[in-house]
Amino acid sequence: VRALSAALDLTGATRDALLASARASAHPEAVDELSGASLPLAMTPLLGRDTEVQTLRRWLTDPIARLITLTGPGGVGKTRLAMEIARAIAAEGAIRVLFVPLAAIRNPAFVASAIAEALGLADVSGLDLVGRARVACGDQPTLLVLDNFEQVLDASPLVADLLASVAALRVLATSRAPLRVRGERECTVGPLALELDADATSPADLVRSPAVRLFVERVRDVDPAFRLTPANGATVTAICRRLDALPLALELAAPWIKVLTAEELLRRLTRDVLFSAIGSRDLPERQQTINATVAWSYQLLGPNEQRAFRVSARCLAAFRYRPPPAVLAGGQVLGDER
Amino acid sequence: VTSDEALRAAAALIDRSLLLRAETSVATRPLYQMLETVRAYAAIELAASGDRDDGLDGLARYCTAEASLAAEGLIGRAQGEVVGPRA
Repeated sequence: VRALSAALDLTGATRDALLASARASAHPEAVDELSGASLPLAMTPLLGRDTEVQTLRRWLTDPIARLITLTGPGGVGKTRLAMEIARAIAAEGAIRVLFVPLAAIRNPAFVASAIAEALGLADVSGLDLVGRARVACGDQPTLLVLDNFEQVLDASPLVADLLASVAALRVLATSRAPLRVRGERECTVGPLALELDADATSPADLVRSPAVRLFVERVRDVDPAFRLTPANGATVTAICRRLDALPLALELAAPWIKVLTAEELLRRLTRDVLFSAIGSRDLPERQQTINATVAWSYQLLGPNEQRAFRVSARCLAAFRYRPPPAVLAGGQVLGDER
Repeated sequence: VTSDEALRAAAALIDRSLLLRAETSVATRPLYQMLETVRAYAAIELAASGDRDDGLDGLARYCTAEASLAAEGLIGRAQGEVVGPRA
């Protein structure tokens, strides 16, 4: 490195920086200390996922369940849930938790490098990752959080190889589609519960619904004076139902309460469910709008699947608005009970 | 589109979380649900593509299939499931 810095004719601070970075990567333990801290912090509390958290914590103590995949549609909160679990386990201290963000990676071949980097390996080329990971982990129980696996599903065999060879390793993955690897345990994450009795109208009743609570809390972020009242309760509930209680959709719609009344927001969402398009700039690009979220899934489909996807939308739409009497059962459920 | 192909396509869409098994599914037959936001996006793609007529064709087939299923089911033990939990 000194020779390199001399060859590059580096001086002063630049040379020191190069030497420091070379030292850092030559000592994996220095990187390991950073890895624990690299888990993103939660900016908002997790709502309505108690059952999933309990299930996942139980699975993570089961020696058989070494690959757990959180599956579900975009914007449902898979990453948020995985982070909650990862932070809790990291805080307990017995298990090393390493976060591997894969959203920016398009080529499955680079997954090995991303994992090597998370493991603190000096050589992040990804060559012989399995052997080097075995040495790096040793007996240290390690939880690898592979976030956003859906666009690198072709790297699934690598995950299988790692789990087969590195006994101390477990993987918690988030993905819109399962990895389809032997021994995988799938936890399906669905939209939040609306959990409302038909006669629940008081704000105290409504706020027990995680979906309503999430919406109200996000509204309060932009309008602290906002309160759920007997007057606006039904409208807020209808907004949540219109958006299928999908957390990202609720979060994107909530800030509009600063501009529109709840009634007006519901009216616009009824006309165009994609109305509340633009989201926080700190969300990943594919989640800044609901459109982009679904487009991301759509682009990952093959041509035949894309066609089926378009056509199924047509079928469901037709049943939703004009259920022919003879197909009442299909119409009722596909249009769900609104 | 054969029913086998349709099933395969449905499986692929469920695999990618674009189609969800509805909680209101009944024992004899699975029912599917598409999130409203997902469906709205699909409608945009449908409008942009040339296969609007194919969609209606598929819909017609689906209606016929559903209607005959319902007709069979209305007489007999599965009646409650065909008519639906709310009816």
